[in-house]
Amino acid sequence: MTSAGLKREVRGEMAGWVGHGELGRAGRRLLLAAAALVLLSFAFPLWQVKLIAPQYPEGLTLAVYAWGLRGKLDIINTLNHYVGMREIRPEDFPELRLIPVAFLGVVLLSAVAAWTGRRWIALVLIVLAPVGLLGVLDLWYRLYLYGHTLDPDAPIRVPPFTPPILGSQRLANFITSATFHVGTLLHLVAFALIVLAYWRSGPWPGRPRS
Amino acid sequence: MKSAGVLGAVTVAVIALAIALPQLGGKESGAQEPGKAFVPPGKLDEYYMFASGGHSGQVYVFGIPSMRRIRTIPVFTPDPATGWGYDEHSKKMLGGYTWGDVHHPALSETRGEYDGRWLFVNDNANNRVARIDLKTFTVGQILGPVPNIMGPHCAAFVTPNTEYFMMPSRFSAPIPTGTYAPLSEYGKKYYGVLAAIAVDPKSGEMRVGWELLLPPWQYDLSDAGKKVSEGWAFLTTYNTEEATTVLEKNASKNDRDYIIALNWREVEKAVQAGKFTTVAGVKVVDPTKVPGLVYLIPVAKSPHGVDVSPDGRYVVASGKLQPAVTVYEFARIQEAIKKKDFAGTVRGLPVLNYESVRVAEVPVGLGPLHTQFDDKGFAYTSLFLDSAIAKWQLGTWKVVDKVQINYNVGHLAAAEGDSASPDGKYLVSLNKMAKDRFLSVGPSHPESLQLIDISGSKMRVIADAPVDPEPHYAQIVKADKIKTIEIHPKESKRPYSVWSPKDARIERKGNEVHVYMYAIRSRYVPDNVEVNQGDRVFFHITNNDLDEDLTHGFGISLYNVNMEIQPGETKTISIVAERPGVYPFYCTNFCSALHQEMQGYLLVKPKK
Repeated sequence: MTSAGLKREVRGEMAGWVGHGELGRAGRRLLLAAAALVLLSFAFPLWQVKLIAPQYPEGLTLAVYAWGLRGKLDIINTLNHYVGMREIRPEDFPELRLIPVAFLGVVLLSAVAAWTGRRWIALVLIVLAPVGLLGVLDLWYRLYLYGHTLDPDAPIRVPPFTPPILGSQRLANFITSATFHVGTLLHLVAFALIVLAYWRSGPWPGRPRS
Repeated sequence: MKSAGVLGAVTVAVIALAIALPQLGGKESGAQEPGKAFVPPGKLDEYYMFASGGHSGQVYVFGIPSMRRIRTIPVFTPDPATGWGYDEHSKKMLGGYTWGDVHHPALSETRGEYDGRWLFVNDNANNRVARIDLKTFTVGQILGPVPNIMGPHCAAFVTPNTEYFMMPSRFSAPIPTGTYAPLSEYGKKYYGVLAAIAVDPKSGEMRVGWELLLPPWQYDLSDAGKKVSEGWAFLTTYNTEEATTVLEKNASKNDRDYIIALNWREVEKAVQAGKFTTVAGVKVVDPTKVPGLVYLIPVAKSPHGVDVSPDGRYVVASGKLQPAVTVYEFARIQEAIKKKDFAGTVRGLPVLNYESVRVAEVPVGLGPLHTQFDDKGFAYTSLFLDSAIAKWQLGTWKVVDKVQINYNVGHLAAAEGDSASPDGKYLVSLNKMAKDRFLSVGPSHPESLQLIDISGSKMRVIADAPVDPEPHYAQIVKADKIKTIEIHPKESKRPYSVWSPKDARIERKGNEVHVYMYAIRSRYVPDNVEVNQGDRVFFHITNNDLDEDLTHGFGISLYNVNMEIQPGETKTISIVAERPGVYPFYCTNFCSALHQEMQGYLLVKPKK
């Protein structure tokens, strides 16, 4: 093999590693499925918190959807005011307006990747995925702020606390249980599908090129 | 006709004995099976029972089979706990009356089945009728006093699609209401008027459809025809003697009175054809001038209940003073009308030939008052004098079982037992006397309700429940047909509502002060209100706790007002600040851990 040929070969291999090439028929289907799952995630909560008390055996649920908040927000706010927690108002979360745009972007990119079969688009999606972790961090910070900026004049004084992002916590007569929900799960599955599509179309040894 | 006469004569002979029977009636009520009525804590009943509250003016709601009393719905009588008759809206609805006499609740029907939308109840005292909305179990409308009628005991028994219910006079009187005529002119100037109350199928709004001029008799109970007899209504009459004094004697002289068979579809046509006169703003039809509307069917003296069988084929009249129920077949009634098989006319109305229309006289026992039905072709008749319930079979007309109750049953209510498809299972005996059945509370005792298991071939009394005076009729409806709402929906455009503490305010218009108040656990905004002596002060309060059962109260010390405000509701209460000084107002309906703190002051500055 000439050195130029080798160079070309290596460059081709390297290009394969970072995103050159085609996803193939199966890969494109996987990307289409990923797009569908992210779209479907709009119908489910990403995260949900449930407050259960003896007098609320059915629980007071607050769910975060890609497009906003749903649930017994008014009642939770009314109860929270006894410990001096600020009112939770959807308009206080400008990031909630970004989320649907970002998710629709993911849907669009995945669909374009499925349509064109470009591997690099899948790679972009994979690289951008950790941005989602920022959302989780943001949620945690919000929870921290609500629990740490309590009105000192509140009827009931409690030490500052961070409501759980995952798992349960007891405060007075309430048990608060938080969990990531179907929406988030759909995102994880979609991410896995994209990774799979990217990986199986890669030029690494032993992988048949499709 | 002859057999009615004979039975009438027999009646007289047995009455003396019958009067003594309630005293002899034993404590051996049916075998006790407490297990069947037991509903464990936390479990819900299978049926609702809506019982009239009689002269309490209210409606009582029970769970069946537990017999737990769930709620009292204030209807015609002010009720401080809910504020019924205290807040501006309900005060206006009551129109100054402080009581009513509720007799017969009627659930709205679609195709002869309860549809769970509304409950209609009559006021026998003040000629009114109320509609209770079953989304909230509160009164949505009170109609009346209805012109020209007096004592609509007969109501409310709805037609199969709730087109109408009939409100005829129990007490004939000169018309229009308020007209004077001496009793010597009873036969000429007094009328028994029937008002047909029309119900809007969408909104439930009631209005007087039309009225019918009937003879000056007394109209006791009614039922609407269904299925084959749809389009007809049946009423019992008594005092066809037209007595005006000592009725217990003078209105019991005739061997027979009449069932009135009324073709209400034909009346509608007569009204459309303009065959009416207008009295007190109501279209009144005279059936002696328009043939084909009203027929009289002879019945043994002073009947009480009249009940149509689930298939609409039979009309069952209970004798009261005759130890039998008389069963008529609708098809025979139609045949007799077609053939003009009449035994003359009374007060210008054709009388059907008794022998032609009667199919059976069922010897049920003494003092039969009312009949209900089950899903297996049996009928159940209450026996006031025997303190018993008789079970008998439609078709064979045989009495198959009797159960002793305690004591003196009036109405009885079977599970969906007056609808087109009764459920069987349960029957409640609504007894007029409790006597020794509960711990004594002095000379007068509560009324008593008894639950009877009718699922087997033998009836069994399985529960007793005391109740305040005085349920007459009740209806039992499958619980899943009633769809209540959890909270009143937040309507930002609702008049006088306040949905944010920022919008809470006090506005003055001359010497009227309007307080737009925001209530949420555990505070009022504003919580201190200063006015001048002599001001009329309106408190418009919105309960912003959009949480099921989180009801707030609002009462002002020494100003004699109180009300509840349900979750999401806006209510207005007003006072004239006549006495100067400082008066606390506070939440009267326990709401939250800091309920005791939910208060404010009404400060009334004295006139200079």
